[in-house]
Amino acid sequence: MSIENFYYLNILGEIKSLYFPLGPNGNGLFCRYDIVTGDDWELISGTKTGITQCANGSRFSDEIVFNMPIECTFKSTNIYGWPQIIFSIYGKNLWGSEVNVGYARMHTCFITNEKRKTEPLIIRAPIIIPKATNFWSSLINMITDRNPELRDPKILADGTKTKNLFTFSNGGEVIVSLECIAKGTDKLDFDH
Amino acid sequence: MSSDSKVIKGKDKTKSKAQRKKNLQENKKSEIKKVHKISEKYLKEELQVENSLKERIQTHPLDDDFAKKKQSEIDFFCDPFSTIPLNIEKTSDENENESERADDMEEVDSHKSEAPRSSHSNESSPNTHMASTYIGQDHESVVGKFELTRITYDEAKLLFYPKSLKFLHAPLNDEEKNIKVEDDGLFIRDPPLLEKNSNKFLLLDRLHESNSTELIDSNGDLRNFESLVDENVYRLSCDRKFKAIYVPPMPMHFEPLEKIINEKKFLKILISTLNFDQHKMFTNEHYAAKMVEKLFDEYDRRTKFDIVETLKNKLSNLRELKAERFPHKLSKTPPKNEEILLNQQIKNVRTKLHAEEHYDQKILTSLLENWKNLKTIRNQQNFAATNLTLKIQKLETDLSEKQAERQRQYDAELNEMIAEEFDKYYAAKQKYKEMLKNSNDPDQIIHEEQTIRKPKKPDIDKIVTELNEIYDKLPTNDVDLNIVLSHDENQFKTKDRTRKFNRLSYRIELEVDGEIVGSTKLCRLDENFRIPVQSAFILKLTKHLPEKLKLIIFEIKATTKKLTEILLPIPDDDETYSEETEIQHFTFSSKQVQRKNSNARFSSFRRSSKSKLINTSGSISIKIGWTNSEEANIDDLNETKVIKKSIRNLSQNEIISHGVLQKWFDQKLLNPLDPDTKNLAQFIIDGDEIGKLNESKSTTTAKESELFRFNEDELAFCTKEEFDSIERFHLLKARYNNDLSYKNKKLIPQLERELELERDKDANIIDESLIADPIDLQRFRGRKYLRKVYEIITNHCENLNRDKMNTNILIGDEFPTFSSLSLAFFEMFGPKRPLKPTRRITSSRTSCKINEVTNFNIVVTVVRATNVPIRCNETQVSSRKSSTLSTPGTGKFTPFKHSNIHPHVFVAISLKDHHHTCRTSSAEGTNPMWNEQLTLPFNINSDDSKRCLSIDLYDEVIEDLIDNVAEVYQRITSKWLGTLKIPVINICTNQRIEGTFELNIPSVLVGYTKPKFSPADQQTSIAIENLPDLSKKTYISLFISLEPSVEIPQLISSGLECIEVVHVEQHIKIWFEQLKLEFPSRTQKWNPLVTLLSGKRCCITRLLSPLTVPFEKNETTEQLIRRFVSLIPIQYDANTTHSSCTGLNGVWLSNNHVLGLMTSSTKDLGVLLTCYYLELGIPAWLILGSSTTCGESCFVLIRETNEFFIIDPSSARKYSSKDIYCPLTKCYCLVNQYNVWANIQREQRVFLTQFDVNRSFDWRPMFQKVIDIPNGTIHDSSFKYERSFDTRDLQRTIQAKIIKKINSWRSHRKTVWNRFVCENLRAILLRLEDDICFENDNEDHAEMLKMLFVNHKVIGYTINCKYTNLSSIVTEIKNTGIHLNLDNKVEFAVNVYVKEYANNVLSIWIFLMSLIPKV
Repeated sequence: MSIENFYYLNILGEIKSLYFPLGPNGNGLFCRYDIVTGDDWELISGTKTGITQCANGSRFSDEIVFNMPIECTFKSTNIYGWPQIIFSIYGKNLWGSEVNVGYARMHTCFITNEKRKTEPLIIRAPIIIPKATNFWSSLINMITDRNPELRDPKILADGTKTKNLFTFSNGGEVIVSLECIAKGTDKLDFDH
Repeated sequence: MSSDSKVIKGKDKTKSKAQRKKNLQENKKSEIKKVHKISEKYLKEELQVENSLKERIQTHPLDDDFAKKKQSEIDFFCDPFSTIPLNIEKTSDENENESERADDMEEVDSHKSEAPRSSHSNESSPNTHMASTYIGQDHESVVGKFELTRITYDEAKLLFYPKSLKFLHAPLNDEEKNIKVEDDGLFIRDPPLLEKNSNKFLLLDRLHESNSTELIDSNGDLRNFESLVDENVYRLSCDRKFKAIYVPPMPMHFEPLEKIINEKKFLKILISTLNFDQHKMFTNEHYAAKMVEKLFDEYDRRTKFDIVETLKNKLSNLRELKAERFPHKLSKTPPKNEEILLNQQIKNVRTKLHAEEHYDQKILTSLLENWKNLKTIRNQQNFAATNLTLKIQKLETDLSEKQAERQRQYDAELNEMIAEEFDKYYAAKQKYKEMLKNSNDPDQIIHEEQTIRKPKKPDIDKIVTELNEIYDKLPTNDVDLNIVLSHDENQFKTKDRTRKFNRLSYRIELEVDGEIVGSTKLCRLDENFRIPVQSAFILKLTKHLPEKLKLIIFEIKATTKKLTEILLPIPDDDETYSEETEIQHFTFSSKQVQRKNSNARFSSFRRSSKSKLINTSGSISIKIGWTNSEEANIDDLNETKVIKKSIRNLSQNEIISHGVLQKWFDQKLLNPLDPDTKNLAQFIIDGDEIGKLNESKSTTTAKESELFRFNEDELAFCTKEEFDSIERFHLLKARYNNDLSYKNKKLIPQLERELELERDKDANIIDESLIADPIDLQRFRGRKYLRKVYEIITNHCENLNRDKMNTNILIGDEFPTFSSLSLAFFEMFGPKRPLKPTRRITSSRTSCKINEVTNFNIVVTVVRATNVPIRCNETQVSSRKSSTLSTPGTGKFTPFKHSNIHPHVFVAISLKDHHHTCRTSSAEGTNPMWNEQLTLPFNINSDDSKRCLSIDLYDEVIEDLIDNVAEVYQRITSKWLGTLKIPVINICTNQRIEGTFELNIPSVLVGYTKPKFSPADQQTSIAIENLPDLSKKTYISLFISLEPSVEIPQLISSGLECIEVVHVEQHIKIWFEQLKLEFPSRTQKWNPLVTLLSGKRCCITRLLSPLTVPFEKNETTEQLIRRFVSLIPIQYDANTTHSSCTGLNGVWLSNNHVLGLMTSSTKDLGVLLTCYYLELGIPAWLILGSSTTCGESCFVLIRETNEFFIIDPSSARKYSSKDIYCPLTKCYCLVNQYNVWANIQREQRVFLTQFDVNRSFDWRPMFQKVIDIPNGTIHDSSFKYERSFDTRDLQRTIQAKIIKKINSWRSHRKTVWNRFVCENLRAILLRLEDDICFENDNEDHAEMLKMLFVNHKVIGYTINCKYTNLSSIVTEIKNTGIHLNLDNKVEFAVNVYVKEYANNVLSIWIFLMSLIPKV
């Protein structure tokens, strides 16, 4: 029997900017996003992944603005595995080579409520940086000014796997504005 | 007037009270007037009417509608509460009604003269209290003056309270009960069925209350109940808006959540203290202190158990017993057995007592000595490094009493000893006497005299002295000492050592099976060299029991140093962890020898002048046991604190589940006396009481509800049973747990009816009843089974390795090496964007995972072919043609003389069913060159992937058609010459295949001959020395690659159980690890421990053992077994699970599986063939290697008279080990049943490899000694070969299928089948099987056919294949393209022959032919 009852979720928004209160760890930052969903989700339009342009802040603690649009539509049968966006931020380090500056993870917003009819929801996702597990590599990383990179950033979506990954945050944030429209939720008795 | 009253009503509603009062007063007068207008007469009449109407209802009980009507009539007429104003309005109506119902009025008229009261009493029962009757009684009050009065009601009276829901069901009296109307023959309508009788009962109840029994019939039921029932449902309208009030859910009953049975095991390890007996920082004082401590422990233990006292008691008891049983002492009769036993016991106890007393004394003295020693040390060094103090207290005791007791004891013992001695003496004496009596023979006496002397009487003095000696040694017990050991902080008078202690700390790690699972906090060493660790580990074991539990103690000063390891025993299943669990002490000693130099300053106190070398040693006290999960959650000391804190912070409204509370209470975390937790504790206690009360069946509903506390279980969506019954959640759960059938399921539907369950799916796809043929069925089941087993094993391995995969998450987190450091520095200072960047060659190509990509391209570069068959018959035909037509080039130039003989060959590649076909351009000659690249797209998920890539060789023939002489048409037909099949799976796993392959040229190919190089040919063709081989076989050089390149996951079977003995397994592993280090590239693909179908691993040598051959043994058997094995079908599935299992690291089958399932992989065929060779006595080895045609597979190496041969088990071909066309490209190792030899030769190429395993510098054996080799085979040596099923049916089916298919392919044309030729072909087919088996030359068949069909242009060839299923045969035939003959006169012929071997191993022979009659 084929499945007929789906609901659709349209995610629309933009990566507004990066904000580092203590200043960014590099310059020429750019950001890659991946939308990770559960098994019961299928992309039917738009792209799941994208990469922004390089951008610099004009002053030290300015927000680094991207204004990168995100747009995709999923169909799904299950609310489990709600789309999450994972940001991998890269930039040039002290020595001029492109290194990872941090990661951020956020859930896409739930269906829009009445209050925010006029302006989309702004989500600020904290930036985390993986930490080296041994002393020597952390020393080397300090000299070379590069952080360890995740082999597969998508594991951030699964909270259980990153348990032993000692991450720390430098207070930076990814600022994203998002809006979601869902269709067919009432058919499946998902009353929000 | 009516309008007036309406106005009043309206005003009433709207106006304020003051206004209303005025209005009322105004209206008073007018109202009184109105009332007066209603005559008394009228009222009387009305009553009468009402009564009469009522009567009528009673007289017509059977008529429902009538009763209803009447009821409404009564209601209409006699609405007593709306009488006054309404009646005025209704007067006119009433007249009409009266006139309408004239008959009714007649009755009424007859009673008109009577007074309403009398009629009342007559007609109706006297007790009726109808509202209307009152009206009739008191005219005055009704018409009375309207006065504004405040009427107050007692609310309690207004409301009706049912006394109980129990209605009076009993009949009124016994007489009435007995009357049954039915018995009188009257019809009684069944009472209407009501959904709820409660309303009826309420009514009954109310009637009883008001004593109005006239409506209750004799049975205690409502009279005329039917008439009261209204089918309609009325909806009440109400102006009042109800506000919703939240009522918290109330539990109906208290039922704690069911205990979830947890199969997971929890092992709890509590490390309480770490105690050092020896430490590098020990001073003499410490040693002394330790000694004192040790001795005190012993002393303390002894005093606690008081061994001496117990022994004394025992002794006295025994003595009493003896005195009781045997009161007469010192009788000369020898003691009875029992007495002897008792005496013996007393003696034993006595000696033991003496020994113990002695030991006690010794300990005490040494303790005191040591303490003295410690004190002197302390005095000498002027400070105390230890805080040990021994307090010795002398207890006041009565000396005389003690001495008296001692004396008593002494006396008793003396008596006993004397008695014993005497007993002994008597016994000996008796014996002696008997001896003398018995031995009358003097010689014997003399002889025995020497041995048995006459026993002497015991000497009492001697006994006394003996006893005195003992007693002198014994402690006098003059003084009772009370010794207390204490750690007194005040002892320290110095600080210099404490500083050092602060720097020394310890950490304990717990290691399970080589993986560190946890570590304690850093613990400082205290002054007593004791570390109170007090931390607990809880291990949750899900899969298997750990093999090794290890505690590792680290010493941390400036750097971390591993001190020692302690192996912990894994407790038995019944050893649960509880408060009573015994604390076990494990002693340890460090292997590091440390120089004891810390006390160099105090050299004067050293016992020996030399510095000692000591091991750090000590003991660790550990509690270990199994717990269940619930205990595991809160048991830690810290956690208890947290909970206590949280209880304190708990507000009243917070939600706590009942179960949690109960648990807290059980763990004594809730103190009923503590004001904070009092309520909670009370709640639980009360709950318990309720439980008890409930058991005693007393109703405590009220109490329960009072004691209710919000229970979080109430917030659950549904109960667990309900949840478990939902199919969808089962599915989701199964997917989460990596259950095989649901593992990769996407988009599980939300609605249950859309769920597609695996069992339904299975039923849909596989309908075994459709497969009629038993052979087909067997093969089908085999394939299905094997696929399933592969999937299960792969999934199992994946699950086992899932935890280990996570280790390598981070890039750039590796421990830096020199090369990485230098690279990093190079990167740092190198140019950022160099103009000419140096190409960095990565070892692994960038590839993606196979499940991410579905569409691939197979890129085939066709280089060249050699030894293509030449046309033999064509010369005459074309010469004739060329004579008639002036074709340029032919005939004119001699170099092209043979051009017609030489085929114009092209190569086409295709996957299944010709959906995608690519061909090269045609090239001329027997050794054509193409150098063309062909690309074929394919989807890995589609059915194509199960197939092979077939590379077919065709000859493009240009035929001239003569039409009306004037015009000439040319027709291009392609004739199939041969094929090569490469399984897609092989391309997937190898990514690129390059080499020269042997083409399968049909054994009979009509119209073509194998090329023969005559001197004449030499002129035209390329110089002969450039040709690689002049053998009869046709070769094609190809380069096949896959785009994009993918990573095929390997089956990592290391987690599976191994059936070998531990030391053998260890040996194999070590050997292989060593090999891995030396030859990393050669050891990736195979492992000496192979996975079996049972999911266990064993040594590869177990795969090989002689197995019985399905043929008689003679000189041809060798060829027959090769043929037999090559005919076993091979399963090609290109999905990842399959490919990882068919490789050398995959799953190996045993003989009964291969022959029973009739499905296998190439490596299993190799194993089987080697086993057969071993049975024949031919020295054979299994080669684990890689080949061009089937990827990783097994070949067989045999030795015949000092020459080695390699046999390809899937094609039955035998190659010399020096043959360069052997498809084997890599040889990793050789295996026979006794050993494994790894290839350690530098030469990679197979034809240059030395195959003599005795050469130790070419081959490295795994087992050096014979004993280690695991013997015993996995094969079923008693396997019985069965006769094949009847193949005639199959033969017919295949033939019919081919005819049908060719017909359908040529749907646009008529297909003629030449039956005569069909029959003739069979004779040839019958002989072919033997020919191919014994490699006979079959040139004569073609010749014979050529002779047979002189008058026809014939294309014909044989196809030979192993039988897998019908569709593969059909595909093969389609690939030949025989049906694409466009000639109108073409006739076809086909014949099928099935040669069966044992166990349904079949060889299919098909002869296909197309005949075109020559004009």
